[in-house]
Amino acid sequence: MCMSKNTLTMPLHNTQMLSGNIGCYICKHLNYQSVAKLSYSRLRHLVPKRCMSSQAEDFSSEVETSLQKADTSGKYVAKKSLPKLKEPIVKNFFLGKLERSMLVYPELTKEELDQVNSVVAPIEKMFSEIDSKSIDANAKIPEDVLQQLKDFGLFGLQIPEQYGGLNLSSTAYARVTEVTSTDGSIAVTLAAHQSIGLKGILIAGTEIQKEKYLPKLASGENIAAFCLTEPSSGSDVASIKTRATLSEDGKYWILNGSKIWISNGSIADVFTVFAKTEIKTSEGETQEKITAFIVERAFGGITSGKPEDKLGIRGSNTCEVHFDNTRVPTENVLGEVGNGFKLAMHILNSGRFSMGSGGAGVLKKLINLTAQHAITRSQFGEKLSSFGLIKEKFAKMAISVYAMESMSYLTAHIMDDYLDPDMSIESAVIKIFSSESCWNCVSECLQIMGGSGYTKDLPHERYLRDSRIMQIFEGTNEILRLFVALQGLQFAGRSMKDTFLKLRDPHQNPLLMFKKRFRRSMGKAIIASTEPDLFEEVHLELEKEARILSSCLVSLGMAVEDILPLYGNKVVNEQMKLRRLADIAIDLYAMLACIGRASRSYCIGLKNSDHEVLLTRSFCYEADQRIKRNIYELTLPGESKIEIDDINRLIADIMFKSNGYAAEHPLARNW
Amino acid sequence: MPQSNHDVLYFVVDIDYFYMFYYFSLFYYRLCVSSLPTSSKKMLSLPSKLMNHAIAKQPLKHMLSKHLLAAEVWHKRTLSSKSNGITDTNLKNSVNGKKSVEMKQEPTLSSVDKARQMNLKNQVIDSSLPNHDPQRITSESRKLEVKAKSLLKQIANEKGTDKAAFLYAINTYISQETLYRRGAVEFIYSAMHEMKTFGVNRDLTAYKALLQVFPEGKMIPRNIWQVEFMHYPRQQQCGIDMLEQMEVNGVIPDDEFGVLLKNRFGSTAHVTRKYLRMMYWLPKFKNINPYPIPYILPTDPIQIALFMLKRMCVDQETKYSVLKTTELEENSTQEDTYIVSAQSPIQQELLSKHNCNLPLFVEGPYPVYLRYLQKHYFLLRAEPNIKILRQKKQQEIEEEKEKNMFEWINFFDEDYKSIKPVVSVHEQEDSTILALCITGTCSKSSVQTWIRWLEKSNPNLTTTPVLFKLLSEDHEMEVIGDNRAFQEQST
Repeated sequence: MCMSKNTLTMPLHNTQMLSGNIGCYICKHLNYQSVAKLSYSRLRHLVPKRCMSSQAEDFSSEVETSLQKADTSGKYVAKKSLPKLKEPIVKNFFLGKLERSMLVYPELTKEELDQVNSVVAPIEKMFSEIDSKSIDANAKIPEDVLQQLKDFGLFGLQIPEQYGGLNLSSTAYARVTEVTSTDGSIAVTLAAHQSIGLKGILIAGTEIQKEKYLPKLASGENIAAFCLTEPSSGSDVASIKTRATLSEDGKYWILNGSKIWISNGSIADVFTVFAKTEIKTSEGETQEKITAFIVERAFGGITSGKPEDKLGIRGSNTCEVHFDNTRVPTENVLGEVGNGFKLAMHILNSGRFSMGSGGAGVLKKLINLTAQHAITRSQFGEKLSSFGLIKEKFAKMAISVYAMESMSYLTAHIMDDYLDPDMSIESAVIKIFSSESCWNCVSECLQIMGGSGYTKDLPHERYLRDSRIMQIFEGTNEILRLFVALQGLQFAGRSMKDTFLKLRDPHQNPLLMFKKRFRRSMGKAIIASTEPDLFEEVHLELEKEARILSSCLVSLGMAVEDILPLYGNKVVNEQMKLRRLADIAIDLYAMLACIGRASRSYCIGLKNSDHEVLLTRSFCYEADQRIKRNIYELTLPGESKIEIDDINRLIADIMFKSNGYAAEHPLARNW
Repeated sequence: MPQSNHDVLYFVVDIDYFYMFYYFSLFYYRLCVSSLPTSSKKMLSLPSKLMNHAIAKQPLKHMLSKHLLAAEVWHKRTLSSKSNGITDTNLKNSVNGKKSVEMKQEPTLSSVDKARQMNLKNQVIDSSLPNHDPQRITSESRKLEVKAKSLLKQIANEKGTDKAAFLYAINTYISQETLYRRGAVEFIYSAMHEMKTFGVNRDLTAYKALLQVFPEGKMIPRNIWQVEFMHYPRQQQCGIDMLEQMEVNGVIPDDEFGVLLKNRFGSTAHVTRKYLRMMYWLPKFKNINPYPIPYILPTDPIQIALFMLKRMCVDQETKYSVLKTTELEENSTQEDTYIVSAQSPIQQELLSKHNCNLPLFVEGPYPVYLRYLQKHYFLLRAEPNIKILRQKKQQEIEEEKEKNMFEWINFFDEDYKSIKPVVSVHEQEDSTILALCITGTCSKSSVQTWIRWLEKSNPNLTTTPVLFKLLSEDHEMEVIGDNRAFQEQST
């Protein structure tokens, strides 16, 4: 690391990497005026992915090997050259750790960006002409609109080019989602088709299956649907009742059962269906395991119920689908028999990240509309835009959108830049944050519009209805919170098992207890022993925010250090504590993304980049407050603390015992 | 179940919670007192009628009732501040139909003593005047009591025994005794004694009406000396006894009652203070029962049975069905009675998973109480599901092992359910409860009808042997093998 602030000496890692004397934009020791001379993208070109001090050497060697491979095979294999993501991001938060390099916000090359823009521009134009109001009122997307969508290739965004798709990267996909989400019904139709409906074929399909189905799906000739939910199993995927039994000749699976709330249920031609099958384990026992099938409507025995009359996304088609002795050829099994549960989880996990950019797209449009109103409307002789409370609302909305965008594009970039990174937790974080922010922001927009926002004349009420579904589908936010916290805790527990086991047994390890006490008095934890010096990776302007991020990371580490040894494996049952941990992780990831993005923008001098710094500053302040509160409520009952979780649990128990609201009426008398 | 023991015990078993609290506190006091010297223990002597009765019965119950009654007596005394001055001699010598026998009574009494006791006992039964202070009960007051009783009796004969008649009796008394209200105490005692026969012992308005028998204004103390030395002691004691009876019956006075009391005894009198203490505590206890019973119980036996089952079934999904045996059985010899059955969907599921080779048991009748009402219930149960319970235990032990730490399985794993057994509330360590019922007759045949009815919704039951383990009246178990049709088929 360079020690002097005034010299232009390169940090060691950069000199090694670049073999030149140009700096890394993030290195604050460089006078940032000199950084500004360099274009961010040029730097990125020189430092292909990240300026990772620790990983630099491995990385360069990897690139080398891939290049060598390319020489021998004579063909450039893009995937091979991708490095592996060494450390998980959000999972690492639970150990109070963060790779400094994660604060370097990734970017597209100029060519890639141009390509994305050329795809997005016509779609944007098309979506500006769509009459969302009539789609909502008639509860149907008109045929010509669907045809237009198909013509633009929107049904095959992520399908490889060889099957007739657009083969968009995750980043580009997120960018397109931003546009398509401006109409909720279309967004859901498209998402049900390609984000989950045909994702199974992309992930686990054999070459023959891909050849057979993907071209028609990419062109939109066939529409796909994802059949998982059943009357008796919503969040509890493992409890599905639909069964598939192998026919006697072993050529067909016979599918029986019914699925509910299937998006595209009555218009789809290809279904990804999950059903229970009996499989024999190596010990010879029979087990019930879930298997995924590709089912065509043409196989017969498939009936769809009448479309559900929904609160929002009314134009999208949602209905029940029944399978009655549907004969599915054995070659239509997706992946391996008995591997369906994992596949379902994989599909759902990979589909969520685009919800952040989608939500941001909707909100940006709505905020612009509302801002127009605030600028023109006068009350008490002043414009609405001059009122403090209105300003506050707008600021908060902008902060939310900024965080949503930052998180989803950070995640999308990481998905593109690394070899099969596990982004399931990050995607869940995005989904939770963006669905809730969306609901709040749309509601605030409606509030600013006043009475007219409550009528059907303005699109606000439609957006409010549409955005409500985001908290429910693709895994409810509650389940996802548990998912985030449990996966994070499990990672923390496994990677520092010895320490946690010792912490569980204080009498045998008095020294460790003493050490813990001592560290605590210094504001540190055992598991997160060193405070990550993140501020070195960001622009000086954002040093304070980076320090907030560091200290919040450490306090999450401390909370985990308290909770995991206390509850051990029983932490699974402490849902209220898990919720708080998940909330902290969500705020941390959002902070990380915001700081990285703002730092980049400020360094390269994007338009309104000082505005971005302010947005980040405000977000970090609020996130810090939320985290502090959660930490306060998480830490174990000490002196005179109220265990608010226990109180709430008691309240709810009494309510369930008395079938609902249990308090007596305020007018009631006892004698 | 023998009915007689309940006389003594019903207020223990039939719990209104404030009652429990009340007696426990007194019981505790009794324990403290037991360390006192004998002379002070004598103060806690018992009415021998109840005592003898208690001694004759089982020792445990005897002990319990002894304590409770002692506590009750003590309570009355402390409230009336009259506990001193009562000695054995003056109790025995008191002729006016009042007596109390020392607690440590010799089991072997001389025949003369026995005869005297019998005599006294008869008198006790006749009189409604309590024995707080036997010296005050004069022959005059006995006469007045007889008069009051005859009035009540006469009205009961004329108008029947209901609330209106009771209120009419009070009005009649008041109209007869316009100014002085002579014999008010005796009338109130008699009326309190008869309240149960008039069916108003749990009716607050009746108590209010009765309180108005006392004249207004005259008995209000004018200075603190009068207050402390219990102005109009018999009247106040009578008021206190009335409040006591209300307490025993679970009647909580209201503000209006307080006004009536204040107009008669002033706001500082002992009786008013008792009222204030009651108003402090009783409303607090009123809703403390986590399984509340309505103040007025239904009279329909089916409704009562339903209520009892609802209190017993912790599973909120439980479905209750009311059946008529005559409608279920074509056989005309079947008695005409009702069956109230309770079974939840989880219990049905457990039953459907039950291994048909293992027998199920129908057990009962076991008593169940709803305040002073008693019924008997039957249960259909299986042997405890040891496998799943052990599996759960094993799981808990496994989780604590070091190598399994942080390797938990949660609901994002497919095997979550098979690895982590979910034990329902019905699977207890001693047995798995599958259904409950209360029948009108508690007869064997009605229970068999119930099982036949259950077969309709639980097809598994038709192929499972069911063993009836029924308790007869004298607590002897009668085990009846399954003699239903399917067994004939199998043999």
